[in-house]
Amino acid sequence: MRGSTDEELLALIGRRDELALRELYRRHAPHLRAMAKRMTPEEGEADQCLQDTFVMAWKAAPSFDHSKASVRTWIVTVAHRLMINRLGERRVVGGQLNDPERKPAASPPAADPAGRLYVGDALETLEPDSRRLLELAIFGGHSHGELARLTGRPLASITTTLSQALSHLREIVTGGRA
Amino acid sequence: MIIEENVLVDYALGTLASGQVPEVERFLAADPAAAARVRRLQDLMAEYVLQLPAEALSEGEEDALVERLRTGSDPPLVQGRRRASRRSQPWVALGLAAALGVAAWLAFGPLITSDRLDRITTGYIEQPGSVVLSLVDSSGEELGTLVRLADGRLFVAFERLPTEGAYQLWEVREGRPRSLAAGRRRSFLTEPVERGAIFEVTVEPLAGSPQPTTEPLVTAPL
Repeated sequence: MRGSTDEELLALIGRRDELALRELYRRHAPHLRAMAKRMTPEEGEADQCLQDTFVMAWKAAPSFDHSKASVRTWIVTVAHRLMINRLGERRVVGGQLNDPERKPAASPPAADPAGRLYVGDALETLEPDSRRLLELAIFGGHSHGELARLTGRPLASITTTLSQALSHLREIVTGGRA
Repeated sequence: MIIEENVLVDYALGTLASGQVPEVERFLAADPAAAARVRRLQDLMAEYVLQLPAEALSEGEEDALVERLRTGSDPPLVQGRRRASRRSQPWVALGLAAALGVAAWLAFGPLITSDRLDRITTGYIEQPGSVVLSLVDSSGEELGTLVRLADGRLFVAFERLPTEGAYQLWEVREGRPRSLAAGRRRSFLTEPVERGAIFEVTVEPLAGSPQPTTEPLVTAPL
């Protein structure tokens, strides 16, 4: 079971395999919980989001369309949007951001022997402002328009900054591959 | 149709207002290159999340998940499951139902298919204070969308008409149903309904019924 891909596990879950469900949960839940905890301080909400995500996986497994999304992308997207739904009106809109502490960006991390570069390290190479905006978008659930209102910056500036931040991440993660 | 890049990024990151989603999805269905860009962004976000430092899971959560699937409203793990009792139709909790709509967004297509009803529904969704709930039956099939407006009125849009008869909407308190609306049509706007009630939909004769005569197609807490 541990050597199975996410797609293989989901196929097994589609046949109601409890062990496959447990393996998929153990594999991804710790990171999904980390995401949820960045979006809400309430443990119960994070745990409920996790449960609902894997109940979703259970329901969707028999008819999941692998051509539309990978299992890992799908499961993260579901968990993320569940949390955004929960955040709902509690997301801060219209408040004022503190100016990010100005620290120089780190140098791009060196590749590990396997040639992988971790996205988490890659964020350290972003300018603090770019990193803050990206984190507000992902963990705060804020759209471009909301970020513009929060920061007092023009929408075009937010669009440019987020676009550059995402491009930078993509370059680091893919090593420049498309 | 032109969709600006920042709107596509909002969609990919899950921050797009729900009322804008149907239009974006129609655009993506017609523009494979844009759909591929959105998918790459979603893959990137997933890669980021799955490399966050792992958080310790709460004790018992894994077993609680399995137990929920074994004994709760979701299809059970064991082979040869019993059919749900006639009255114990599965609950569709607000968050989970919304997430079933989320799954539809990503993997199965848009929630609402009729352009005109889309526009009407989107109009209600975009009203300040509205809350959207996907209506899903016990087999996981989407029935439609419920929008609870800020003043408590419910707007309900169904994917399709029933095979025969009419939809009837109910507010249930302490086990006592009260009819909200009935008719052989795909959309309804009710009077305000106070929180704490249970919302149910049944199929009844064309003229409606003083009491539900069939099992609820969907049950949801308001």
